Amino acid sequence: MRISFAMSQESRIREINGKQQEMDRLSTMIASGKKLLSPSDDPHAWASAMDLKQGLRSIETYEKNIQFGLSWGEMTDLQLGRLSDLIGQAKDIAVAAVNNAVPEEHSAQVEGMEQIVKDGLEVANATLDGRYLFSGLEDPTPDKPFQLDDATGLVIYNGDDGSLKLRTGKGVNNESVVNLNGQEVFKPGDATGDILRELWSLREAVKANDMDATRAAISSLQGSLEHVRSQRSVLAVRLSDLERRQEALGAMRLNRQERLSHLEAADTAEMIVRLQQKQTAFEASLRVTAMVDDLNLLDFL
Amino acid sequence: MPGLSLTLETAKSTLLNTQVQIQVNSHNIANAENKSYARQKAILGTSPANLTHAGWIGTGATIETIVQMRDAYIEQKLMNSMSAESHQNTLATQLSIALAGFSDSGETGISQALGAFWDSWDALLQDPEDIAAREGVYLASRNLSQNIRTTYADLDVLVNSQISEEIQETIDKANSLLDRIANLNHQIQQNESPGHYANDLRDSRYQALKELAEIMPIQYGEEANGSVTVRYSNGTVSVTLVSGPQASPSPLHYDTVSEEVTLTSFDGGTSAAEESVQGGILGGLTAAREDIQAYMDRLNAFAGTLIDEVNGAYGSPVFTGSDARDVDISPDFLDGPTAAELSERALQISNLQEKKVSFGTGGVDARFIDFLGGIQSRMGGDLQEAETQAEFYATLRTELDGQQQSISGVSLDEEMVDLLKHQQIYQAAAKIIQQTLEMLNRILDIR
Repeated sequence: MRISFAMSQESRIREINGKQQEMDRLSTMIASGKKLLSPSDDPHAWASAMDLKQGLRSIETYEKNIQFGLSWGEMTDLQLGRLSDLIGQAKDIAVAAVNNAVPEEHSAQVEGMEQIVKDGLEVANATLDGRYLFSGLEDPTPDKPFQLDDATGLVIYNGDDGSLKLRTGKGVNNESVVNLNGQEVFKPGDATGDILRELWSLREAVKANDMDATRAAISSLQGSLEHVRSQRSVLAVRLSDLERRQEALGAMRLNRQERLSHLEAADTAEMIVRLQQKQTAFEASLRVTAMVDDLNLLDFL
Repeated sequence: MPGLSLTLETAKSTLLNTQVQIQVNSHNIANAENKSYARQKAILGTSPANLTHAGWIGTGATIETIVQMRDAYIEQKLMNSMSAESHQNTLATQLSIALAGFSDSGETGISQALGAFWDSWDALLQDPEDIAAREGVYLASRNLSQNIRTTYADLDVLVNSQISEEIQETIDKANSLLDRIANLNHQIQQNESPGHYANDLRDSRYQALKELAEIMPIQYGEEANGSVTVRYSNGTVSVTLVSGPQASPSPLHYDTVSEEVTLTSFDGGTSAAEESVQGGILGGLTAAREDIQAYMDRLNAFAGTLIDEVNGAYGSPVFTGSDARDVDISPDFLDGPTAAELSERALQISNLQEKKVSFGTGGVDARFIDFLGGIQSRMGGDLQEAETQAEFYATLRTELDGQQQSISGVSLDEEMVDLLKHQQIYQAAAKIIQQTLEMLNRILDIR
C-alpha cells in the first residue's frame, strides 16, 4: 500500500485529536468525580441513577418528617408529663384540704390551686416553634386554643380535631399521625373528664371549703390522671414507631447511596492511572509525528 | 535516415519528454496535500522505428498521454461511507444538543424541579397554615411548570427553526453542487479529446461529488464522453439528478409546511417526494427531527398526565393548560381550602410520587420520575447508537480513504525518486548530445 503525503499527515492528526479527546474526558471525570457524565454514556445506568436519586430524595423527606414528628411528640410528651404532675399536685392539695382543714394552711392551699389552674391552662396552650401543640390543625390566632372563663369555669376550645399526618415511608401504611388534639386530651365541654374545668371546680371547692365537692373532685381527677396516662402511652407507641422507621430509613439510605456511587462515582485512583496511560500514549503520538515529519528523502540526497 | 542527426533528434525529444515528466512531478508535489487531487503520470510510448539496411532502428520515445490514477469503484464506496458517516455525525450532534437541554441527572432541570415540587407538599403537611410552606408550594409549582415549558420550547425551537433552517441551507448547497457538477461535465466534454484528459477539471468534479456525498447518498457513473451521471436511489425511488451538462434548476426542493424534500430529475421528467433521505447530512437532520419530535410527544404526555393527576388529587386546578406547551399554575390555588382540607390534599398529592400512572403512550404504568428517566434514557440510547454508528462509519471511511489515497494520493518520496530518475535520463540525453556534437566536430575538423 502506498502511503500518500496527505494521508499520513491526516492520520497523525486524527491520532492526536483522538487521544486529546480521551484525555479531556478522563480529566472531566476526575474533576467532577463522576463517570456517568451524560445519559448517552450508559442509558440504563443513567435511568437507574435517576431512580436512586429520587429514592434518596424521598428518604430525606421521610427523615425530615420523622424528625419533625419526633420533636413534636417529645414536646407533647413533656407537656403531658407536666399535666400529670399538676393533676397529682391538685389531688394532694385536695386530700390535704379534706383531711386536716387547718385554717392556716387554707390560704396556701387556695394559692396552690390557683397556680395549678393557671399552669394547666398554660399546658393546654403550649407551643412548639410558635405553633400550638393542642389545637389540631387549626391555628386559632389571635385567640388561644383554650379559654377558661374564670367566673363560670366554662372551657372554650378554639381548635379542631384535625390530625397532623406526615408521610414517613413508602407503601400503604405510610402516613403517621404525630399530634394529639386538644379535644381528645383535655375533653373541653365534656360532662366528665374536662380536665381544665375539673381543676377549676377543685379550686372553687377548696376556696369555699366545700368538703363534699372536694371529695368528688378527687375521684374525678383520678379518672383524668388515668386518661392523661393513656394518652401518653398512645404517644409513646407512636414515638417508638417513628424511631423504628427512622432506623430502617437510615439503613435504606446507606444502601442506596452505595449503589448510586457504584453507578455514578468515578474511582479517582483508577481514573488517574488511566489518564497517565493516555498521557504516555499521547506523548508517543507527538514524538512519532515529530520523527516522521523529519523523514524526507531530500535529506539523504 | 539513420545517422548522427537522428541521434541528436532522439536525444532532443528525450530532453523535452523528461521536462514534461518533471513538470508532472512538480504538479503532483504542488498538490500533495489536496485529497481531491489524483496523482498524474505522463505515459511514454516508443516512437515509430525507421527501416534501414540494418533493420528497424528505434527513434526514441514520445509522451502519449497524461493520466490520473483513479479507481472509480473505491471512490464510489468511499462516498457511500462518507454519506453514512455524515448522517450519523449530524444525528449525534443534533441529539446531543437536545439532550443537553433535557438531561439533568436529578440536580438541575425538570427532575430536580419535580423533586422540589413533591417536597414542598410534604413541607406543607407539617404545617398547613404556615405562610412560608404555602409560598414554598406555590414557588415549587411555578418552577416546575416553567421548567417543563422552557424545556419543551427549547426542543421546539431546535426542531422547528434551527433544524428546518439547516435543512434549507443544506438543500441550497446540494443544489449548487449539482449545478457545478453539470457545469464541469460540460467543460470536461468540451476540453477532452481522445487521449487528452482534462485531469484538473476532473479533480474539481471529484471534489464536488465528495461534498455532495456528505450531504446525501449518491450513485454516479462515468459515461464514454467523460461526463458523470449522478443518481439518487434508495430502493423505492430512483432519480437521475445530473446527466451530462444537464440538471434541473433546483433539483432538490424543501417544503417547509409538509416538511418534505422533493427530488426532480435533470430533465424535469420524474420527481419523487422523499420524506426521509437516508444518509448524508440531510438524512441526519431529518432523522434528528423525527427523534426529537418523539421526545417532545413524550414530554407532552408527561406534562398532561402530571396536570391531570395533580389537579385530580387536589380537587381543583393547581395547574392550568393541557400539555408541556402551555402548562402553568393556576393563581391563588392555595386560597380557599381550610387547614384540614389542605392537609388531606397535600397528602394526596405527595403520595402521587410513588403512584404508578398511565401516560397514554403505551407500555406499562410508571411513576412520574421513572417516566422522566425513561425519556432521558431513550434520548441517551439514541445518541449512544448514533455515536457508535458514526464511529463505525468513520473507521470504514478512514479505511476506504486510505485505499483511495493509496491509488490516487501523492507520495513525496515517490515523486522524489521519479524526479531523480528523470534527472538522470535528462543528464544521459544531454551527454549523448555532447558526445554527438564532439563527433560531428571531429568530422568537420578533417580537411
